Amino acid sequence: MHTAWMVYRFREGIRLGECILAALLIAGFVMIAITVAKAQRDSALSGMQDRVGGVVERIENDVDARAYALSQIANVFAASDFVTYQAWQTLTIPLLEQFPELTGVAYAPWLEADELDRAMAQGQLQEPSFSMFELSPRGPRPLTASGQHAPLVYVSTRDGNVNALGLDVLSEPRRSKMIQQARAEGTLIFSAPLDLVRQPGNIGILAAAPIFRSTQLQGFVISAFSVQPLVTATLTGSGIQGSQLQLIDSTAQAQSVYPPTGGGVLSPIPKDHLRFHRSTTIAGRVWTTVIDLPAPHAAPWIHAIWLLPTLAVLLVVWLNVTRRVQLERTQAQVEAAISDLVTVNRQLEHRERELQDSLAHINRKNRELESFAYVASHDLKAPLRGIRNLSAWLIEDLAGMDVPETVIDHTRRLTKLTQKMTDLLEGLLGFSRASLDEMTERVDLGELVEKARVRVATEHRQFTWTADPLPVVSTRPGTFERVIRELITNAVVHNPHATPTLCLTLVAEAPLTLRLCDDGEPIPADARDRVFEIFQTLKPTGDDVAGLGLAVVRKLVSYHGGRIQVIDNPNTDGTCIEFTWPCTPVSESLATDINKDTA
Amino acid sequence: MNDRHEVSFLLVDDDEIDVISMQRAMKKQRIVNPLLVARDGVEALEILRGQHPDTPRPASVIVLLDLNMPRMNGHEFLNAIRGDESLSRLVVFVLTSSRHERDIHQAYEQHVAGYIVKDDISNGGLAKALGLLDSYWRVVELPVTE
Repeated sequence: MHTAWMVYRFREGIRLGECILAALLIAGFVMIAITVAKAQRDSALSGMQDRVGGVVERIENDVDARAYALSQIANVFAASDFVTYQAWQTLTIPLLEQFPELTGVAYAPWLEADELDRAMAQGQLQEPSFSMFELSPRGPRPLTASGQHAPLVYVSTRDGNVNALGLDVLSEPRRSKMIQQARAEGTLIFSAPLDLVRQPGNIGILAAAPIFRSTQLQGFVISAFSVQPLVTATLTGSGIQGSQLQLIDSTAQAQSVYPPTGGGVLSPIPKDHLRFHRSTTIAGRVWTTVIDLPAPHAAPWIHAIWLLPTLAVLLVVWLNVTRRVQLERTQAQVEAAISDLVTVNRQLEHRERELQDSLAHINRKNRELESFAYVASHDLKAPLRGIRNLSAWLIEDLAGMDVPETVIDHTRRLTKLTQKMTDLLEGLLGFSRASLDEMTERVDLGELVEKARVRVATEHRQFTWTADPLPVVSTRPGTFERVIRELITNAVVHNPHATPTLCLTLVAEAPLTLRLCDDGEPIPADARDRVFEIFQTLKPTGDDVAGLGLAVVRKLVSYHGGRIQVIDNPNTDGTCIEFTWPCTPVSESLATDINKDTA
Repeated sequence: MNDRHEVSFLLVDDDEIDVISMQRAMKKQRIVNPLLVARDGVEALEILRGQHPDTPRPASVIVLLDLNMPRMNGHEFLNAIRGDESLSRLVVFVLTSSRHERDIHQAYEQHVAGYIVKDDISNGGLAKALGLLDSYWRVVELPVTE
């Protein structure tokens, strides 16, 4: 599923224009490669043509060289009436040595029937038992002395075989045809290919060079060539193997001369080869040279011409598409993220509105509560005062009258209870009024503490007091004074000693932390949180203590942003209350200036 | 001395007990000056302006003013007399159960002669305060309304 999505996305990234451009580029590179390959192939073919032409030319030259040599012998015969066998040997032995493919050379004079004696005399110079014969359908037979004859009178062979000595060449059709043609054309003529009797499987060719003295035909120099060594010699150094070459005698019916397969059938073209034909006329015959050469292959680097740029183009296209897909995917993700953000933002805004509403609601409730506490306690005070007054007046009016003591006692209790209730209401009123609606100003905390101490000592009772020097800070003076006064009052009121001992310690300056220790009864650990709750007293003091002082203190301290807690007194058995009071310190000199200004 | 005795007290208070308390305290202090009672600021203004059907306008008067009252409370009453040319010089003592700083501050801003908290003067305290007042008007010349 993921893959399908990927494929879909990949298709999405493809651009038609880009693809067309890429295809055109690739086509261009392929064209270039094809052009280069074609040029290379043409060049290779041209080289091959040259090589083939070279081989053919060489064959012609080789044949010319041999024809020339034979012509030289013919010229010697033409220059003299009678050539001795010794002279013949002198002429032919170097020839046989020079041309290894030459299997034999023979001399045949052209004779009328009455000239056979001359031939006989010459033949006996080589072989004393010389006799002339002709070929007939029934085999060799002695030469009949009629017509014209061309008997072989001198025969030089490489192997010394002289079976042909004395043969009338005109009696054998193929040789006869050759010399008749040589006689007619007056030049060296090749015979049709024939099987060499002494070299089985090898093809041979006879050549006849006519000997003329002025215009009178004297005879022929006839030689036999073995094709195989001739071809081998010709191909040496040409770069073409014998196996790649075929030589056809195309004059009569095509006959393969090389290789000696017989007939005129050309071998099939080998795979990946090209066939080159050259026809040339040598010594009266048409020869076809067929050479099969390996077809030129495009060089491997030709492929690099189109393959590398094609790969590069495809890579660029692929990268583009991938990048586009990636980009689109990233865009989609970003859009999704933005959409999520918008949703979250909307939720946050909604939540914030809810919070604002809740806060407004809480503030309203708080104000209502404070207002309620104030109004309730205030409105309760009026009837309470009435009751108190009435009970007081009752006692006044009953004084001196004869009433039971219990009536007086009950009335006194009534007064006392009313007073207690008044105190409770007063405390509640004070607690509900305790607030921070006061501006901060620069104050000397030491002075504030001293003011509170004096007030408590006046309102309640004397106590022993030690205090650390306190800094000058910027804070709410009334609130701080109230906190300190309530703490001192609390410590003094609950202290069992006649003269309580109190000690105010500056624990830290930032944030300002103060500790008030007394020598009263320690507060049990499990009651340390409870002392700060409203109307909580730890023992039934009944009369004087409303149990609101510490509640007010905690309310003010926490409104102000500080913390308050009961801790163990490190020195005595009494109680220590420690609280923090966040405020901004004021430099001493500045404080002095302000004091001066105030003064 | 006689003309001094003509100084009247105008107690502006809606609380009956407070009225009785005042009466008892005056009796205890043997103060025989007339005590006029108004239930609220509106009635007090009627008396002071001679518009009250039952109570005639006193010639010389010290106002003892409660703050929490229906219709027109003490602060509103103070505002009214300070804004009234003929009443602006009245001597007014605030006599209230409120200890609230705001009340005290606001009252002195209207130039009251004193601010007395009722709780402080209960159980005979009111009598002492009245003694103080008695001395006050014996020493101080009061403006007389014409």
